[in-house]
Amino acid sequence: MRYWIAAFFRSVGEVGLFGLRVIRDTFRRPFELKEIIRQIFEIGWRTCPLILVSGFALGAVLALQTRASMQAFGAESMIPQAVSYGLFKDIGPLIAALLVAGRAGAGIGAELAGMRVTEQIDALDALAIDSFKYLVVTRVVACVIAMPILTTLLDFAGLLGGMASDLLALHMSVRLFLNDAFGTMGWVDYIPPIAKTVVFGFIIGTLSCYLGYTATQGAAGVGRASKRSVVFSSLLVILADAVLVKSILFWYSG
Amino acid sequence: MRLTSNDAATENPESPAVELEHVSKRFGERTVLDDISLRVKGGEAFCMLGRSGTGKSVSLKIMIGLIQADEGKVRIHGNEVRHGDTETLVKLRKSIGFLFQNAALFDSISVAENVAFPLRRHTKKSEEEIQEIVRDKLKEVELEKEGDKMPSELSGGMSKRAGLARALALEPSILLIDEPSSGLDRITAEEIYDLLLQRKKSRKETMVVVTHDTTGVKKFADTFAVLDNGRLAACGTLQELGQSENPTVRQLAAGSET
Repeated sequence: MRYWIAAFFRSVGEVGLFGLRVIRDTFRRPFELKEIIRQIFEIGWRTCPLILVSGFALGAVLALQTRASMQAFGAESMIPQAVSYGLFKDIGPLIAALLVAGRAGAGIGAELAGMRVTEQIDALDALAIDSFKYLVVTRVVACVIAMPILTTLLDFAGLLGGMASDLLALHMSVRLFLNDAFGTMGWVDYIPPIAKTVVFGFIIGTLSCYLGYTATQGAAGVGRASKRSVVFSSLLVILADAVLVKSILFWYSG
Repeated sequence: MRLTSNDAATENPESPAVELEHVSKRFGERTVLDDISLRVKGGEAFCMLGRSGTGKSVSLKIMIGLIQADEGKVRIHGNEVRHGDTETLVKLRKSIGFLFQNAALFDSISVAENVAFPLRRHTKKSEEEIQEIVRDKLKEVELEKEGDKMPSELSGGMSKRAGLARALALEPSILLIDEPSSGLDRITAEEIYDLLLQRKKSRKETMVVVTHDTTGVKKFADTFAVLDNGRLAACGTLQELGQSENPTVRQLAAGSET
């Protein structure tokens, strides 16, 4: 038991130092802009279809499920508002982060672990290229940049899904739906939740890179890194969301 | 004396090309290298022999700073390899080519791109010049027609040759080679050794080769060292090793793996 507790705290400390090194190296030359752009494409663009389809389905389901409750109170006209608030302020950022953790986090973990066990990371260092900057920092920065964009896409895809659902079921006009959806929403409802996703991106990128970059034990290590990247990133994103929601409520309660 | 980044990687003709001084390395409870000291002269082909798991690959990785020694000093052309000093380490590594045991080619880019990679990162050459160097290097290792292939499409021997082409791209003054014949049949292994022999004759660069295959390295190695249980058991010519009192040294010198 003591061994497990010690191992847990050692791992937490190592991940913490790894994250601090990422922050420090982000602002040190060379900035590896070409590789960052390539990673944004890899992580962001390739996750787009999943985000858009999931967002659309999520919005449609949200509209369907709120409809029954709203109808009971004769408040069908509030459905667009419920969908937009639900997506933009509550579940949108979290669902986007969980999807990115599952799609990109697993990919990053497996890719870096594969490079580690086949000595490709050592080969980069032997070629006088800082493997940490080239592989880790670029991926974490790409996650940090891609997350808010992907979340915004998911939010709007969700809104589209909710709108499609309402148009079909309630024959509500597009203009009325959009007026209701955005009527009472302000930047303050959009910016803090989106800012939250920057933290999610950092968590997913850092944890996945840590697990891949420090992988050992051959092919089994690659599988383990991939699996753990999804599990730990998702877990930490949910925990961070609880803390960040509390902070947002505290700062914007007035 | 602490090196500044400006004098790092400058070649001091009077210093050995590679020098290990009382180097020790442990992994947990296991001592892999125990107080190893050796000097490799510039232009020399130095071969480290030893059974599997005797720390040969670790000693190569310590030379290029991929693994940090627990004790002792490592010098390249008289400049100390220090782990905290990234800038110096980068400059030293540019003067060293490293051929990994499994070639370690970057599997997401083509063979030609693998060779071009260090040139793009470390030189200001135009794309035409880079392509010309890539063609030359691939021709040197007889892979001129395989440039567009992905590493996964290559055989073991071809991967090794591609890895050698990448290691040679920056024209290093020192070549570190980890098990050149591992996983290869005798004929393919001989082809790799012939390439190294040609390279030694034409360029006279310093080579440090670690292997357990004495037969192949006999062709071009000048000096041999034997690692046994983490210690340097013998160092000298193959004839000198053959007269050692240590049976492992004699067996390795005779070319039969123990």
